[in-house]
Amino acid sequence: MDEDPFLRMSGVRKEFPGVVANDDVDFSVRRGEIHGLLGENGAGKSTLMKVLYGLYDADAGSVHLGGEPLDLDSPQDAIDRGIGMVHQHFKLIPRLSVAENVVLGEREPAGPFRERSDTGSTTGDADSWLPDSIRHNRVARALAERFTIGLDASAAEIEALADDYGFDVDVRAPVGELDVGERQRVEILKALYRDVDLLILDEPTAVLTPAEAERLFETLRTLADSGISIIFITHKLAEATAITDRVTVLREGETVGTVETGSVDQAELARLMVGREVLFSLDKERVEPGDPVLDASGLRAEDDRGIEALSGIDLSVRAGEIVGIAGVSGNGQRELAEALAGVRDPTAGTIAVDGRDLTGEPTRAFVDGGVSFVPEDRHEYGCAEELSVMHNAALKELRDDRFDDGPFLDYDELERYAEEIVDEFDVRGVHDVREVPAGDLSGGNLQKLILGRELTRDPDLLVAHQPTRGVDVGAIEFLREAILDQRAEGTGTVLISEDLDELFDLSDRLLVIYEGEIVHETTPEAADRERVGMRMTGGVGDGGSAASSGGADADAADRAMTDGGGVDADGDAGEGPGGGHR
Amino acid sequence: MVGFAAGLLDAAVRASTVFIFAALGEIISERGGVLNLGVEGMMLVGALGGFATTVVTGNYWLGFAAGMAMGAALALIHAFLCITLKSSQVISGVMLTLLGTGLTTYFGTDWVNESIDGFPQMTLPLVGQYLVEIPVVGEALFRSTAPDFIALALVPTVWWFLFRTNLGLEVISVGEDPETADTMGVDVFKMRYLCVLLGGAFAGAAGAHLSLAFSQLWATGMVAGRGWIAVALVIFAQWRPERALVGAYLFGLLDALQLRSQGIDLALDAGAPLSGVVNPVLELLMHPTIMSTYPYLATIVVLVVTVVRFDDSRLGAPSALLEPYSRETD
Amino acid sequence: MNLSVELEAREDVPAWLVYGTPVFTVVGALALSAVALVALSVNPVAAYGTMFVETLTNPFGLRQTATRTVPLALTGLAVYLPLRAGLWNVGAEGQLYMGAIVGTWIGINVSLPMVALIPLAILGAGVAGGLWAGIPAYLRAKWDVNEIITTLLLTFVAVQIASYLVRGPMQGGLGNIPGSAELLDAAKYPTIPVLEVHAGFLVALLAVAVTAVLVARTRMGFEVTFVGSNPLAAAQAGMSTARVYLFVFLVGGAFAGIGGFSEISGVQGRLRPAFSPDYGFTAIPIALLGRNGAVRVLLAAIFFAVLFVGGSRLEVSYGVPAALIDVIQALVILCLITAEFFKRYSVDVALDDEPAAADGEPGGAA
Repeated sequence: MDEDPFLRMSGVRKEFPGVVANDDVDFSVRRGEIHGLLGENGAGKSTLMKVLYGLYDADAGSVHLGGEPLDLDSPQDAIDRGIGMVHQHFKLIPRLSVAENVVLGEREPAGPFRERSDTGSTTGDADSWLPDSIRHNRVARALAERFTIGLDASAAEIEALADDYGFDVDVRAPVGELDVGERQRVEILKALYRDVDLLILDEPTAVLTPAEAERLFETLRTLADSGISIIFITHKLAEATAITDRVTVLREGETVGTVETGSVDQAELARLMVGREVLFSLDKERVEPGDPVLDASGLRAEDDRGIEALSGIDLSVRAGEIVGIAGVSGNGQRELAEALAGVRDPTAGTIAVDGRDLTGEPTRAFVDGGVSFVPEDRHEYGCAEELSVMHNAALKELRDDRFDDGPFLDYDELERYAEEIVDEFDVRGVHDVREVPAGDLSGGNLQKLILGRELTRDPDLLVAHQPTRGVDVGAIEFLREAILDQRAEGTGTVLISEDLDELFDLSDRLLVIYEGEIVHETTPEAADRERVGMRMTGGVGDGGSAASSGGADADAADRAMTDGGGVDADGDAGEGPGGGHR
Repeated sequence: MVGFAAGLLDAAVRASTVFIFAALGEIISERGGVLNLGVEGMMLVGALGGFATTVVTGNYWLGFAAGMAMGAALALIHAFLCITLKSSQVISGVMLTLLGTGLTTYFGTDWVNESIDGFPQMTLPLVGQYLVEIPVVGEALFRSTAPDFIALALVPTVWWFLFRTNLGLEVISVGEDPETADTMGVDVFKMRYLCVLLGGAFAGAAGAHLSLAFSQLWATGMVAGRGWIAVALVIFAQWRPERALVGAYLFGLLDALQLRSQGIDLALDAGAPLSGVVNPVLELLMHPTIMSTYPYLATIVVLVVTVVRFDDSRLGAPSALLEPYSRETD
Repeated sequence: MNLSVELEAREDVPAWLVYGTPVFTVVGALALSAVALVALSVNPVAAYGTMFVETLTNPFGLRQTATRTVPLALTGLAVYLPLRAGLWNVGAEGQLYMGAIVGTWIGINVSLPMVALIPLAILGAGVAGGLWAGIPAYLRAKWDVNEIITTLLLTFVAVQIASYLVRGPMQGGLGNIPGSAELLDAAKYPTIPVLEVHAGFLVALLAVAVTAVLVARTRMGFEVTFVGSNPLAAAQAGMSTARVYLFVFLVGGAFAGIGGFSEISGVQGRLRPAFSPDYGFTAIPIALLGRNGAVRVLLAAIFFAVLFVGGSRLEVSYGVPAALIDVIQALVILCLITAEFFKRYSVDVALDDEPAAADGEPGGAA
């Protein structure tokens, strides 16, 4: 490999009102390497890449690609220079087909004007019945690019590309009908269609099952071997060590260091990411569980699109008990959380809280019945950002008598209540609960406010969905401690999380949810982490038991478990490893 | 009876052209993500501008072009406010209708008594003479003014533009998800400006058609709410040009029926059972003023039915409609 | 040479901009409208003098302003309250008409002493306006049907219904000219002593006070505010967005309906077709100017009332078509929007001499 890096970003600075997202960042990538960009949420990784991709203008600093300075005004410029980006939140338009999504922006003219050959290169004349003089005429081309569209040939080309890399996709299907893994493949196809030299992936595995992630890693290896440079953004240590050649760590907007992946371990990377020794375990006292606070049986529910997301869940939680629910995002967790909190009506089954049947009751009945809810997306569902901290703190309790002031609402009392919560839950950045809007708080502080609001009510049942996602490490510790404290007070908790460490630390019982069903039940003490991980992807593991849904998942289970030498549903020994290990 | 039907059809077709122009323009604008509630105002300035230009120059084609330009000029304000300044599309649109109404009333008093020779009735070249011979529908469909034919031709043109060209794909993408479109290299601002300006030009054409072809005069407020119907029509048509044509005909028919309802005798014989109840009701329903509410009520019904049946009020609507786009939102 | 314009979202809005905005708005609108005046060979300064100074410095002008404020404030509230909940009531005009229709009918046909008749008519008008607004509210609450369109469409329906009624079933008293019979004396608002303005003015002030207290001090007001800020979070917390939506439209519609009746009872004496100079639409910029509180809505209403009164004077004194008022109103909104933009963003316009990226700096004028 040459020492002159393919991509070099020097001294990049980008500021937004109130925050410096990138502060004098240096970052370089060699040709054909997979380079990880590691950092916590809010460290500045996405911002840096958006600068690289032309979505943002850097306030200072320079970027060089292949030795040439890179001056981008828009994503179109980035595409022209061979930079492709696969975003974490897919940039796809559901109503349009795969082909239309891939082709958007390229202004492919109809057949006779095409200049791409079937192998995807942009030179070379395809067969055409138009005389060259017209085909190459600038005005005619400009008109053709705007007022025709060459979907047929493009579709064929996309299909060919997909085959080359082992994807399976129907280019005519509307993207809205594809599942998450398929959509990500479309994202990658978009980049491949444009002949990228540098491919950026932003947290690509956030929405994938471990098996799908393995497939992705293989694909990335293939791409890197063919000369494409890859930037892999992540906040997951395990991934960074698994797939990358080198890793650059960002912390709070600054570059902390760049290391060869082979020469460091996860603990060291964590230290670079966070800046101090990270305590990965908490003290958990023994608590005697009491009466059941939640009894849900036969729970079925649909997702927003009307497809069944919960297929018959039985769940019970006792006072003083934390029941953890593990699973890859998209297996019904959201619907389960919302059903238990009374926000989503189940299509079948019953929910009883403290012995009272609340099935089908409006949300208010759940709230008044002692159920607290910390939703997954704190901005969209957890708070009103424009309103004050006080408004948000009071949200669930304002109907209580103590806030009565005759026929009016006692705002002074609400203010005191809010201040109590801010105090007790260490919510920083609030000099006046009435004046500071909730949107001004940082992620961690906002989450502390929300959790504070939910816990101060002394709920019988707490439903917490990803309570520590996207929160700085200091706040994470606080939040987990708070949940444990509430457990000691007698609250029963349903903890839904993607973070296995968190689940193992906090739960008394641990369940695994997969495709809307509980497929495994165990306790942190007795659990085998690999088995749990496998159940999360639908693998079965015991020879001879009923096949999981679809052969693809059985294969996936095989590959995820190469070391364990597992057997698939037919009792045969698993096939050889699918690679992807480094 | 046949004569009545033919006359009715003729009136319906003539009345529908205004809606075709305005609705097509609004479809383009909304597909691009910008709601234009200023259609009524743009139609008015198009009507007055076109009329005044024709009076002064004696050339109705110039007048028609002037009308389109004036509609587009007003739309430019809308575009600037909504796209560049990222203001509320609702406020801007209502404001422009108010402005258009005010300006045309203010400046229009001088032109009320003028008269012009507007677009003459014509048939299509070559085949026209045979097409008008078709019984009942021939005259109605194939003898019209030039703008009527242009409007009809615009329906497949706009359809093809939206669904069979790269620019159309970009328009749709910008109205569905401007951030994605931006990432793909589409110039969101330019496309949205284009859509709004086209919408304004079409609205201006609709107004000019009114004063130069349909009525051939200028009267204060002559658009009489048709701009609002056009906005409703777009929803009725679920943002598809071919359905807008159907809707335009329907609403044109209602328009025509209104004027002719006196000639229709639907009453039951006085001796028939329930005639005492049914006849007054029929009379009420056929009353011209009451009939003029039908387009609005029909649109509400369509809106509700669409929503209830598909469980999603934005089924047809471009997903990013009404949302201003800013690249650096974080 | 490169012209570059940089937009930066502001963190804090400088005080001069906050207080200056209304001033810029008004001055800008008047300056632009001056063009229209000049086009008709009218001296703008003299004209504006007539419009504003004369109106506000003589008792008659003040009384007229107060009178105009009544429907404007009430319809302004009709838009303001739903706006607070995050919804657009574009149909205040239609609700105004429905209230006028029912209130007039009661005022013509029910024989009661004034003490009972006027409250009854107000009640009827309020119910009519409220129900008319309730339809789109219900559609929105139950099926998420866009309320902008439904309220707007129903406005046209209401105007047509009124037109039909005063030429048909409710026609009376004016021979061939369309219009209802005249209201019974007992149904006409008495005049307030000293102020010499009809009692509807008090009704309007009362409505403003009630709204202000409602929003700022009650639980429902809290819910309205929260739902308007984030309906999803509100729902998750157990608030019924449907209830809130229905509430704001029913109350708002009622206010508009009362405004309609007040105009008939206090000013016009009988229902005529097209009796309202688009009060319900003017209510939209009024609600926007006053979006932070009911009292501000009142102030905005007074401002637009001055415009109306001054505009009529202009027509009388200078022969300038009253449509100028519409033009000025539109320009006020235009300038307001523009000023709002400058409050949110600071704009940096720069001319730079170097061609972009000569030495690798990312973005020449970044």
